[in-house]
Amino acid sequence: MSERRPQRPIRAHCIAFLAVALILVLLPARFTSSIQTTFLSLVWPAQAVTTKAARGASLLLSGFFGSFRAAGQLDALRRQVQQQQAIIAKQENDIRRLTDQLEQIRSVSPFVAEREIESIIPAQIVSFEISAGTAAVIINAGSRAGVRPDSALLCGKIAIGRITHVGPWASRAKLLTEIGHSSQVKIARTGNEGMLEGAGAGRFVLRFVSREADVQEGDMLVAPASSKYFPPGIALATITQVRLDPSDPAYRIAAAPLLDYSSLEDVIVVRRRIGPVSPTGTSEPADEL
Amino acid sequence: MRPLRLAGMILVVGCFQGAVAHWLAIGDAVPDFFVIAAVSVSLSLRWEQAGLAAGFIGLGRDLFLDHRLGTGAILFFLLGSFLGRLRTEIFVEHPITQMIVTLLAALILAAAQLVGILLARRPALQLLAVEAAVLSALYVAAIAPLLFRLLRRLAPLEAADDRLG
Repeated sequence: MSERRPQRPIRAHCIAFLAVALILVLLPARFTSSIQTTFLSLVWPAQAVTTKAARGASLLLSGFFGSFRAAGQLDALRRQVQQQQAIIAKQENDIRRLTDQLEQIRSVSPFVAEREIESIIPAQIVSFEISAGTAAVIINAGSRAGVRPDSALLCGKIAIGRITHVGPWASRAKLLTEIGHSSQVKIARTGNEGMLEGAGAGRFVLRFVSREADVQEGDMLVAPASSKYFPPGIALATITQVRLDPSDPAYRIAAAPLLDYSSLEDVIVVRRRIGPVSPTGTSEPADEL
Repeated sequence: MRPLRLAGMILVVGCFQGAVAHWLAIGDAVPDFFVIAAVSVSLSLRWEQAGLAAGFIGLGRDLFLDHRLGTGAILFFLLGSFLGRLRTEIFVEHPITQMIVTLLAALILAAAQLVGILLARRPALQLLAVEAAVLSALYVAAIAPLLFRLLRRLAPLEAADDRLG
């Protein structure tokens, strides 16, 4: 005759779980940061595999539906030719506009920063951590590759985020568009400074630009020399909308990223020679970086 | 649900969130698979187990999405316990019920997690954060019934009653 096993003290487990969760909430940031970093080191290979698989599936699906559609009628192709011609005309305009933007970036961002940059570390995005109010990415470069907290995450010469957690083989970076994430910027054309704040879904709000400043739609926003994380002259965003009501003491400015972050794969991590501040609040001497 | 199966589910949901959520995003509306998993788990277990399982999913969400560690765990635990009690009162198999419950859960969680931004007194961001949260909650609720079926087929949780209870 088998004896009935006593029920597990599930309520005791609940209380223990809540106690641990409460302790985690109350722990200082440096401890929770270590836990996050350890977790990141453990799971990033799984995240990388899942993301690769998802990208592969997406390519397969788009290929399948593409060929399915291509097997359609000639009329559709003719319409496509007409559409393509219209697109080419539009793209020519875009190329002209982007060339102007590129020239603007080059003029303000000749990587003067070179003398302030300790190292440039290439990396790939392995996972996007996007939810309402959160926008971050995991990259496949960590402390072993030389990544440090508060390094800048760039795509070419355009800033896209800042490293927050560093594991041995992977790091987490907050994207500039995360709601509430703020970066000091200046308008490349005029030099007026302001605070660029992430507003989610590929939008920014530029604050603290006085009404005396000269601001126009299309102006490029770049990192100023006093930027804590980004090399000076690096482009961050472009102004898309400018509003000035008579009662407002400052402009209401909307901006947009220069890139679609969700399509990024290859990025670089840039470490500044002049010491950024680590998450623990300790400033690292420049000669150690 | 065995503990290992729960851990596996959290890992899969976390990886899935990282791999496809940004592709499925429609403007500000971003799907949150952790919320769907937590609600799905909670509606199929007794309240103590539901709270515990949802709490672990919340902890996983904190770790995967870089939120303040422990906050999601506590919020999800409370939500899971509540839904675990509620499941006997409502017909949880109906898609409309699932959508409504998920919508309420997502709104409650979003409201709790947006407190930080709201307290920062940034009028422009308050509105954007609330707008993003509401749109995301609606999106999550809309896809919830489909994912409920998928989750229950892949990882049937009712077995946990035997193991944990």
